[in-house]
Amino acid sequence: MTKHLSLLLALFLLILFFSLLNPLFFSTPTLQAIGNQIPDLTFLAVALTLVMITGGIDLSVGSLLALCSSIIGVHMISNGASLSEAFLISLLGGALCGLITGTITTLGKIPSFIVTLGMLECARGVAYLVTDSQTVYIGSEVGALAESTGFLGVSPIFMLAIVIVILAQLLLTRTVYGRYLVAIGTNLDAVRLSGINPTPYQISVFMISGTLCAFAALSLTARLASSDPNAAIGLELSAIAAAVIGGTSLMGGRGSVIGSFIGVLIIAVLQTGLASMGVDEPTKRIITGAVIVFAALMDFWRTKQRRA
Amino acid sequence: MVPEVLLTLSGIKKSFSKPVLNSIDMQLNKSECLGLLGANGAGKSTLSRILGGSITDYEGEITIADRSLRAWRDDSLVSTVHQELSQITNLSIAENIFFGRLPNQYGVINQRSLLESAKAALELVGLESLDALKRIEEVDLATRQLIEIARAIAHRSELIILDEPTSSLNKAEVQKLFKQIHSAKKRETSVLFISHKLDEVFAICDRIAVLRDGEIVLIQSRHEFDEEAVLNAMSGEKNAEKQSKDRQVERGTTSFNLKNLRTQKLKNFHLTLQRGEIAGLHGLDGAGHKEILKALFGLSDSQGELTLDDKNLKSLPKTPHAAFQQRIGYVPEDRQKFGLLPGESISLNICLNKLKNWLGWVNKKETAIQTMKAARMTKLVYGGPEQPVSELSGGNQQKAIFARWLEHDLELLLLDEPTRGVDVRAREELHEVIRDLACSGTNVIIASNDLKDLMRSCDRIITIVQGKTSKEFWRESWDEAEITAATLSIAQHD
Repeated sequence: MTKHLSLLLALFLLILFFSLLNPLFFSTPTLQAIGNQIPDLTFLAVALTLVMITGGIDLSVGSLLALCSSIIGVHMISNGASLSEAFLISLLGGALCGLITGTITTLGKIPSFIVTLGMLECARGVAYLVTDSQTVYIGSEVGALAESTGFLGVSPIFMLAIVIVILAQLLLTRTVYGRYLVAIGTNLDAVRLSGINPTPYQISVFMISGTLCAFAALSLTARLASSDPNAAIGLELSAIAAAVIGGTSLMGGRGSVIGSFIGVLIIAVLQTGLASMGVDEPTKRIITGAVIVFAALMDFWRTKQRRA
Repeated sequence: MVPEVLLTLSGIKKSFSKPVLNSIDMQLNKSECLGLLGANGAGKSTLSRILGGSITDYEGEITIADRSLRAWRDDSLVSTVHQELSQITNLSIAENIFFGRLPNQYGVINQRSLLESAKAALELVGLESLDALKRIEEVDLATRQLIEIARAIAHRSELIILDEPTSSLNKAEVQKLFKQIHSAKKRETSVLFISHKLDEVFAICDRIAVLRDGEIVLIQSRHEFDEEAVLNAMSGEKNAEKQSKDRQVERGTTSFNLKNLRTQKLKNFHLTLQRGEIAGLHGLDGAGHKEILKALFGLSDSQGELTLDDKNLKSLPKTPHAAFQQRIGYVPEDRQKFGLLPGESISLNICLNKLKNWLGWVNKKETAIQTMKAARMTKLVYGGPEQPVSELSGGNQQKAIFARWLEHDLELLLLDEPTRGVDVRAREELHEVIRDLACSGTNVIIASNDLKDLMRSCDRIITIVQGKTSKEFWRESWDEAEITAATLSIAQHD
């Protein structure tokens, strides 16, 4: 909990910094811009957090997002399906891809880095095939999900992201399944030798990751009101960055979903804030990169202190 | 002749969340071997970490060869051979020995010089036949320990700290180690020998110091050694001779029958156990007794027939999970690597395989109760169910792993070196847990190189030589020397 507090403090200081530099920063339009931006990344960061806690990595989330988004677009426009039906199919598609990567990496004993790198390519390819490399315009049926509603002015998709964060945090900290994910990431051999079969957990966490990609796809599709097979290229790296800023260890065993969510917020505030100051794109990237490394260093020092 | 003082400790204090060392004053002479004894949590490891330089924020003053330890920057002054080996498993043996001072020119390692010096160092510890280019993880624990000692010798340290050096060694290897200690002393090196095993400390040390609750409570020189006084000083109470519980094996009620076990190392091994029997498997390193446990827990490719409590399983379990479903449990030898979830809570460590419903919530109240119950059964001393298991002492960590296998109504519990690196009192308590389990009808098989330990709890000891049973000894009629001889029997004929 103290860890989350220091993350929140960093977020608060960041907001304060940008507000002092630019009085217009702390205003409804800016906050809405941030609120609009974060759901896709939030879903992916949750996915990465769960996978990374088991000691794995999922590089395919950006491509899976594009694939799931393409499924939604093509199914609605070419096949005339309803949004809910199309979303259901994309959920199944995401889960199936996760099942494939999870099975290959776990049973084949191949590092998930390699397997998901392969899936990153394959899923992107399938997305191009499905859409014929064209952006599919859908319109307001899906676009409405990204519009602000009466409730605090937030969009349905934003609320969905919050719900998923809370559910995933509960899954991780309160359920037997979640504790096993942590245990597997901490010491896989110890789990196996205590008579537990870790395989189903290792595979299913990739399925969860794939499913969350479909949620992220819904969010992005809604925001653009269309499906773009070129969407979310490189977004997996932002998701990893958010998780690492939030204190999730690349070595497995340590991390929290709430932390990753705060990590998403920090990235979003940083990017919007820098944009509001008129910082150009190359400088924005340099600063963001430095912040990621700095956050990882802080986290390393903190855990070292606690251990000593 | 007055001996020359090498090391002086005055008023050493150190606390973590609570005081661990409470004003230690001690001296160590040149060429002296000092034994440091104490129960788990007495502060031995902290003291050795201070001397080794990994803890620097302590109170008090340490001088080595008339200079303050804080002023020394040369890390070869003190070499520590740790209880839990800290080697770089992916590097070769030679690279591990000279790690930090690899012979090199402009950063390029001089392979030939490295190999030659490594061979020379290995020869000093009697490992001349070992291939120094092997990766260290391919070597068993006992050899790795000797390699650590070779490293200390190669660095020409003034002081060598041996933290539980014999816990994974057999008798012959212990003798080899003792020879190394003698030759180190001849080179005017001092040795701090930290151990639980009184007989070894008495055999090798010139002086002993007993640590209890962060204080030195007893110092004896060789001519004053007194086992009773040392035991009392360690535990702080009169150590009444503990009677082993009366326990009768129900003869004639076979509940475990293993036939024709074959693995790479084992050739047609048979074993039959009576209900509630505790059997010990004893042998030299690599004799195959450890493989028997691994085969029974589904950890190796093996063939054979197993009958458990009249259920004929036809074949051996293929995975640990399958073994667990047949109610077989296993406590591995290397608890750091294969047992513990270091950063996690005691409660998760104990309840890891007790969390039944994987889809369900973790019931904190329920796991706390289970933890408390298991802790009571193993006499585990802990701060609370959410305390990280890494804060426990070695003996208590082992108890936590034992606790994981309680309350499962096991048919069979397999223990690999169950009391390795555990102090005298915790060891006694673990023996009690084993006996309690056997009383409730669980069969126990212990594989160990520590014969004294096996003789304390087993009903029968089976010696294994080159993958075969060489002899069986029942408690009524066994003899330590005969058992030791039996571990060598066939090997000598070959």
